[in-house]
Amino acid sequence: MYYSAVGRSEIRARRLERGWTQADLAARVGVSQPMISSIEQGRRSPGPDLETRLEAVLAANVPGAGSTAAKTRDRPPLPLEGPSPHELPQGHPLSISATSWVRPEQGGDGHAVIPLRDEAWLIAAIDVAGHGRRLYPKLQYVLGWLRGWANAQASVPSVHSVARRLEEELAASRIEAGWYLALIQAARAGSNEVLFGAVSSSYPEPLLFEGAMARSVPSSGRWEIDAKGHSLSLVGLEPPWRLLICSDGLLARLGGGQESGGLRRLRRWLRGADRDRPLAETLATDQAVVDDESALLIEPGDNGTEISFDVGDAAERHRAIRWIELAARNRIGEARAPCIGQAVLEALTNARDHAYEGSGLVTLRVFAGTSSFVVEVRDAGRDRVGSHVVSNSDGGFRIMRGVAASVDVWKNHPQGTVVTLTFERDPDELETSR
Amino acid sequence: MSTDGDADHSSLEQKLGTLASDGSRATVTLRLIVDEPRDAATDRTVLSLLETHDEVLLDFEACEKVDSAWLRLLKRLSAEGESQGVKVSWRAVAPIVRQTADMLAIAEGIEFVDETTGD
Repeated sequence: MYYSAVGRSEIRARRLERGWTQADLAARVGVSQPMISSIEQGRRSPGPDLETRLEAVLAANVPGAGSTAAKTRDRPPLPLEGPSPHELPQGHPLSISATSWVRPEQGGDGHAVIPLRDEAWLIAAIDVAGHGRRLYPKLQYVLGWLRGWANAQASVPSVHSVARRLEEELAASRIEAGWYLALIQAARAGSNEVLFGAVSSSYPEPLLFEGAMARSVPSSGRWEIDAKGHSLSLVGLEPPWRLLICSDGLLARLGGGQESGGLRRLRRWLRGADRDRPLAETLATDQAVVDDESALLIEPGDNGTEISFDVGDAAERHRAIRWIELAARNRIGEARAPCIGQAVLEALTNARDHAYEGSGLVTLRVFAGTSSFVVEVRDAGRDRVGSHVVSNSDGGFRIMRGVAASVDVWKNHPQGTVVTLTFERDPDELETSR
Repeated sequence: MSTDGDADHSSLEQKLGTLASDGSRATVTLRLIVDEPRDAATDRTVLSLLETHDEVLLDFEACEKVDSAWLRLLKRLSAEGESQGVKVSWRAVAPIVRQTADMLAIAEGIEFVDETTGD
């Protein structure tokens, strides 16, 4: 049987991986919570029918199942399937936008932007030692743990306390990883000025840029080394400011093998006339990729939030859809969120099947205006479908048109195709759904 | 030993959902999100369920979303089942899946059921 003696702990581990309570899992498989509890404790066995349903629900694509998952015992649930790290809270006078980029075949490099209370965000970049896809579950575990731990804090923790706790967790989990942690918090309620504190184990100095920062805090940007060899920084920033965190592998590629060269190149971009050029485009080179790579750009303001990922990776694709649905629920309302998720699903599968032959980089960007909610799906592939298919399609575009107020398809774009889905916002609908 | 049938079965489970066969009835429990790429071999495997069973139950209980290409294939399964005298029913279909089928104008003729009808 799939969930035999060993499988009972597997059920619990997989449930926790998804951040589900026993009641959540029970609802998904159509049994009571006590039944799930009994099965996990080994007091009852699921019949063949329930076993099949458990398998279907728990075997869905969530990376990280395996040895690291077993370590979740006695810890808070890890909300790997919970709100996206890039989803920012509503109604904050201070807002930030996050642009996340990872190599299409993501390995052990990645990041999380975790909203905390009191206008604060925890920014984390993790670089699991080694490279390759086999490290992805470890990365997901670490980021999931961080989200779970941060969300459980009653007040905004200091960046040092986060660092200490993260180091303990990495040691307990036997995961070797470099990390960068930053805390961004409003300097005063309702102001756009932020306090920025960061601790890093091994990441290169992040690239901060803007003259206003230097005027307000003369010592800004100066890094010190603490007793454990960590870099420390605490500065005040006035907008506009930008924080760019890059993994060492990315810097080396951009610098033609030299990290310092990569740093110089990115500094030129941040300060140059082409600073509005898309991050993904800026990071493209002819150099061969030899390591896992990631970059995270944080800026003030709700300029839209975007994520880039390999559209051929089902786990990433599904995570992106959940992120879109969460954003839609917050900004449009509960009722239309699943439809919007369906429209984005169609756009993503179109990109996978028509722009690429199964795998390639897609960037999802969300803008929330006063009267509209806009999702942009951008690929960098070679379009293999003519315009007439878009206009006459009975498939995905029909769904997109049925759901969105407008569907704009920009073909023959130098970077591929951009599909822009615009949904109208109705404040009354949002209010009713709350 | 692996056979082509095993490979087809494995591909079906990876892309659509788990398959349980109870004599003349096949039950396919669909995955959380069904959106994997399809090809001719996948289509053949799905449609071959009609050759070996008198009844096919598509169980959507755990399924939140199905992309339009898969929905069209499942509609084809229903339509060909009807012409071949094989009952194909869709159980516990989520509202968004139903709405998507409506928008694709394929909902007509599909047998939607809320609960399994028996053993």
